[in-house]
Amino acid sequence: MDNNIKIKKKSQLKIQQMAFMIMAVFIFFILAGIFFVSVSVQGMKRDVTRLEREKAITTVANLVDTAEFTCGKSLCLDADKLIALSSGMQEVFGDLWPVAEIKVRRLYPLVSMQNIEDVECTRLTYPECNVFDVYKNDEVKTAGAVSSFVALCRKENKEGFVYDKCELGQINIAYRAVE
Amino acid sequence: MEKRNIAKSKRSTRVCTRDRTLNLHSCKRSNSHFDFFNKKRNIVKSKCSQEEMIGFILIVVLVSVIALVFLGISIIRQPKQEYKSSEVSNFLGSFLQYTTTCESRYLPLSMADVIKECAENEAKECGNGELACSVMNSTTEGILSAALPYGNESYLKGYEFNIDVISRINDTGEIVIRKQLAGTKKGNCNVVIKKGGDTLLPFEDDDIRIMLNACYSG
Repeated sequence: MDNNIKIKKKSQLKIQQMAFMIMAVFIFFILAGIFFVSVSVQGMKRDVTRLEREKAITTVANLVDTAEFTCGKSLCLDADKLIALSSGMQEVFGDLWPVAEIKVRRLYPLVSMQNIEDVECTRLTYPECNVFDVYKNDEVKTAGAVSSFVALCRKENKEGFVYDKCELGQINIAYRAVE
Repeated sequence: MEKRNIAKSKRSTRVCTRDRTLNLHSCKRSNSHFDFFNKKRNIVKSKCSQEEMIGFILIVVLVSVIALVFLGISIIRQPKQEYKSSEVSNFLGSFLQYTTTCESRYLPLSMADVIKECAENEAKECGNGELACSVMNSTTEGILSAALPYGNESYLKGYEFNIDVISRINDTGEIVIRKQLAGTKKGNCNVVIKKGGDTLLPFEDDDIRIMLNACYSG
């Protein structure tokens, strides 16, 4: 009788021990699973961010190819149009562009003053300038910005021949925050 | 240490101990004269438990070490991500439209035209006496350094830029580089993310491939 009780107690202890062990293993696997899921979700988030960025860049390219900006070729901005747009046409075209800000910067070749500071393009400074403030809507919040390389072309006259002089530029667009 | 018997009975003995230095007084009741065997059994049990505990700890430590090793390897051997980027494609598209200083029939040529001139004949001169290939190289270098500033502080760590004349083998579709017109490798391209892009210019029976790989830190 006494012996049986002792054996039962020992068995109970063993069962308890095994239960604890199973629980520990279970918790360990759950923790490992959570770790794995969090790592893979992070990777997914990174991919989503990259794709969103790619999408935004494509939107910029589409915007560049609209009649208000294009010089007639793909990914080509007409600098003469930009000057017209940046001096007083913002209110007319503002509603057409679903963005908060459009800025164009000439990257190459550098203008003589560009090494020291940016030279804003106005009717007075053009073409010896490097920054076109095309559009800015102060009433909306900006959520982020995206940029894309473009060719920045203008008409030049050389000994009676008119040709497109293209330089390398970058269009920066700040997009609106969703409210 | 002083040890004395306070009470004695047939079945149990109360043994008290006193620690003079710490002034502690404690008593233990030993149940029977089998006390010696009980003690021995207890010692065996506790030894067994200790062994089990050590075994468990060893397993936990072993599993943790293996997990850490796997984690370390996966972090070190993080797969390099290489993908086509519209940013790079846009750059190449704009690059080809750039108006160079090389002139032909009094009008300056675009970068695409200069590349074709250089591919046609390396010794070909522009209207103003400059070599088409040297104009191509100097303009490319200027544009790349202005548009893609790289460095340790920058997100961009380096880039690889190539202009090659390529031809496709009809049967397999395999690309063979026939001639390299320009090749630049700047900075560190042994990094996690590579954004690449290429564009083709038709040239005689072949193509001219302009390829850029921008290398970013993760």
